[in-house]
Amino acid sequence: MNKLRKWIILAIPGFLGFSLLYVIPFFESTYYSFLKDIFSKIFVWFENYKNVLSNEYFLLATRNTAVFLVVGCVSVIMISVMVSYFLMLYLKNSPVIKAVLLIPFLIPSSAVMAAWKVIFDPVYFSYKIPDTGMGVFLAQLPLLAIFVWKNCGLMIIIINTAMRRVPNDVMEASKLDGAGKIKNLTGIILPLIRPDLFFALVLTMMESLKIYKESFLFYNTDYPPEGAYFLQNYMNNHFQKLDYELLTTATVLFVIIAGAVITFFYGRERRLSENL
Amino acid sequence: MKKGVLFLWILVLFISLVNGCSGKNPASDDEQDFFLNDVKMASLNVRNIYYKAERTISEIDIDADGSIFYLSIGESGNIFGGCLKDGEETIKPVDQFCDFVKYYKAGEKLLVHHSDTGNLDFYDTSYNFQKTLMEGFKQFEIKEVVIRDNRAYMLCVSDNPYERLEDIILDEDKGYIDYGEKIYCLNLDNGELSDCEIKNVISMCDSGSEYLYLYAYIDGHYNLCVFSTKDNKIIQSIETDETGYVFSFAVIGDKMYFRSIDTEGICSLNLKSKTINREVDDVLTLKQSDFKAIDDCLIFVNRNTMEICSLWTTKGVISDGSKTNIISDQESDVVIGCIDRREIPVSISDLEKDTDLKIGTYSSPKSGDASFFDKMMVKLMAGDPDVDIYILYPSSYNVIKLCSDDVCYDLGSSDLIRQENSSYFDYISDYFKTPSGKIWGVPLSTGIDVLAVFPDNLDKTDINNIAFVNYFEFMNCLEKIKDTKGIFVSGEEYGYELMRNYISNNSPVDYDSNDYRAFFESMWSGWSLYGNLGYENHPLLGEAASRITDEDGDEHIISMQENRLLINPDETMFHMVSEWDILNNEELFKKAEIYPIPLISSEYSQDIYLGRIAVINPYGKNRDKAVRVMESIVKRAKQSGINGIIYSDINEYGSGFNPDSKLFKELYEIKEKAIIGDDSVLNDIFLNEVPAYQNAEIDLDTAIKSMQRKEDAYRNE
Repeated sequence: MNKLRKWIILAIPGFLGFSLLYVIPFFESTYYSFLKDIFSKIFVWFENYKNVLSNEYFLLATRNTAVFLVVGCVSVIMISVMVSYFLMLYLKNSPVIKAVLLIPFLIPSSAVMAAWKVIFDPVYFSYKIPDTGMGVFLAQLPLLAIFVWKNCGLMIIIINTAMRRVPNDVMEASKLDGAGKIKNLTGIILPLIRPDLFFALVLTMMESLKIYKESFLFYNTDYPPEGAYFLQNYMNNHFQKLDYELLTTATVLFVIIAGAVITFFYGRERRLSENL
Repeated sequence: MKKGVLFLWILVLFISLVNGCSGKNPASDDEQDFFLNDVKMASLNVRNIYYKAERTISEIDIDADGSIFYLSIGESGNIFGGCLKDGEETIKPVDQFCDFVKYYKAGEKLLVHHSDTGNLDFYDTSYNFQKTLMEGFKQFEIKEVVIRDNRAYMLCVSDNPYERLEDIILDEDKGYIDYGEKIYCLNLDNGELSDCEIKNVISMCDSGSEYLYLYAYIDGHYNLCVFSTKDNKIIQSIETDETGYVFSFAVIGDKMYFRSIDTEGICSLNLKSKTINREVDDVLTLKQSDFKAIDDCLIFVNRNTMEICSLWTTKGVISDGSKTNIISDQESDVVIGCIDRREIPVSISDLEKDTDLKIGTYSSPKSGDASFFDKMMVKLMAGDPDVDIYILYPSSYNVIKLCSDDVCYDLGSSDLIRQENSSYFDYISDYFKTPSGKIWGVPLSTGIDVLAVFPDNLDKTDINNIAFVNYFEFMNCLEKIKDTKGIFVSGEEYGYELMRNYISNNSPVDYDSNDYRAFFESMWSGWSLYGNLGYENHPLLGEAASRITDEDGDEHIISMQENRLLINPDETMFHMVSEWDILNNEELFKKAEIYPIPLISSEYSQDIYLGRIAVINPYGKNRDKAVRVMESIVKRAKQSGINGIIYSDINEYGSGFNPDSKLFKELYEIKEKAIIGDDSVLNDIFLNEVPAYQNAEIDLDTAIKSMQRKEDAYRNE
């Protein structure tokens, strides 16, 4: 009982901070999303939701964000897994390598944007790519490259650390059973480090939602090519226009979608862990 | 274990690097301790220093008892030496060329400089001559003198810097100008003079101890330095780029008080956190000697009002009798929010006099701080009640939200503002009304660009008809006559202006129209062939504009400001100019005829500039009082004529206008038919599509398509 009380006391500051900075503002935002505007405070029920969900730019932004999220996160996780495995097999656990890998994550985007603009010509990506089909992917390509470069290092450190925790005797046993390096990775290591992979995935997803900053630096406009118009562009533009009710509505919808995706992954992860 | 140590070393190295890159001076912690603890100011025995001068004060000094010694200039230009001690004032005419006075405590005397002979003399405190200390010390300006023991440290500019402009080093980014300041040390016992050999010092002030504070430009940065009079060298410095070029400063505790080139007030820079606060508003100080720091009091000359005031910095209390306004929301009846205090079009003291209310301001300490506008808008839209009146720019598209019925505070509750609104041109009156007829704001400044044509000079050309129907005809005309002597056109922002007008006249905008395509192609194509004339215009305008400067042997395209000086009606045919340029220079334009600027289509109306508007915060604590202040703003703006030609009734125009003049009538006619549009994505287009097209990176179709996409997204998202 004493132990429980101690835990509760320790949790109170965190809980209060979380409530004050996240929960209460979120509920306030949710309240705003049901108002005509914050001045008149006229309750309009789901009118804003109807408007936002029928807005072609919100739908475009959602689609682009989803594409970026899937392609970006999968790319980062796949590259990170491969590099981590390579490091585990052929290199010692060197803190120097870890420090080097962490640098892209720590460098401010604005500091390296000039270099990225040399690699990817902003004029080409702003004006010369088609609006449809591959155009969507092409508009996102510079941002994907920046995203992968920026986040891979951190994810490699997380995944590599997890891989090194896999017991050696399990690996030795599988070797004796004739498993190759690929089989080892897919059959033993990846299932065993699934919780860490899931953590890395959630972290990558969160980082992918911050790509707006890089988008603005690269395209230098509030209205980038259609393929690179993300939910953050939509929200920021409404913030600029003082359309707070639309901004909060989009935020609530976004939280619902993101919450559903994360809950789904958590559920899957838990079920798979139980089966293991 | 070894690996762990290695990793720790790398981590420490990395953190050091990051710290180093952050621009923080590694010695700054020590310096802050120094500033906080080591310097003990001289004690000030009184807390309330206030003096309202009847004449212009040129120099002051103050002793620890609060006695004020000053030089003032009479109406006939005579110089008077004054001493205000224990409430009693003695004034005595002194030498015409006295230009600096400094109180020297040892011996109770005054050190006085004469600019004509360069003599440094000792006077007693009643301005009776005692003896000459030194002869021939001729200086263009003595910025400040600090007396320490038996030595006087003098910050001087020896030669007239304006006669050797080419030697003045100017850092355009930071606004630094090197006037060639030098610090001399003068021995007050024997008159021996030595050069302290410190370069790039801008200002100097007393610390009350063996140290002097110097404000200097070192290695590309502004620095607050501590100069040891014992060691005769700078011993510490703190980078203070936040303040920009500083006219006058003083250091009290951990704050540096200053009046920079950008502010009309006194600001403080916290030397620990590097944050800047505006402490006192509406104060003009011109030179270092206008600032004194004694104890925790800042004493300053306000040249706006010719008052000497003291600010008790620890309590934020300003001396009695001052009209100077301390910014404090708590103490104010009404608070006006604006990017810069100077954007309030009438003086705070006039508003206070009119309304009998205490008025405070909520503004950025930095001049022209555009990000502060967003801060204000968030404050307004979040329902923050602290600010009662906002001065805003309506060209930003976020202001459009304020026009809605639910958001605005209806100014129609004031008879005066309702009447005022109804007296505007219809399009202005309608712009400031919501769909249900509420008045959501008032215009504080408006303007329009026009074409001034000098018909007397047209005989130099074969132009018969000067009433240009549109832009294309105008450009054809310029093409024909560009080599004719005497043509001068200033079209600094003609291209921007035309795009703005096109957008204002076509909402929602169709960028794919024949007119617009033809205009865009004509205005922006082939730019690289014409050299760097700025991206705002067709090169032809630049060619025409450069003719005048060619004759002067100067090749650069001249600015509007320079135009005002260079315009010569005998040589000018066409001059693109603003309403205000004409109204302020009626003599220059007396032979001119004023036309609307030729637009893309003759069917379009010209768009006016709305410089600033004022709205009342619907959530403000003191809305009724704010209405009274707003009425006063409107009344005074109308009297002074700062809001431009906006009234439909000629009789409404105050003393700032001459409604009977021909120029006024022509301007009136143009402005009467104008419109107010929304040019929200224009800046974006100007930053992206226009330069890309100019540099031949994209073709016309691509540019048009991209512009249209942005416009559609802006309107429909």
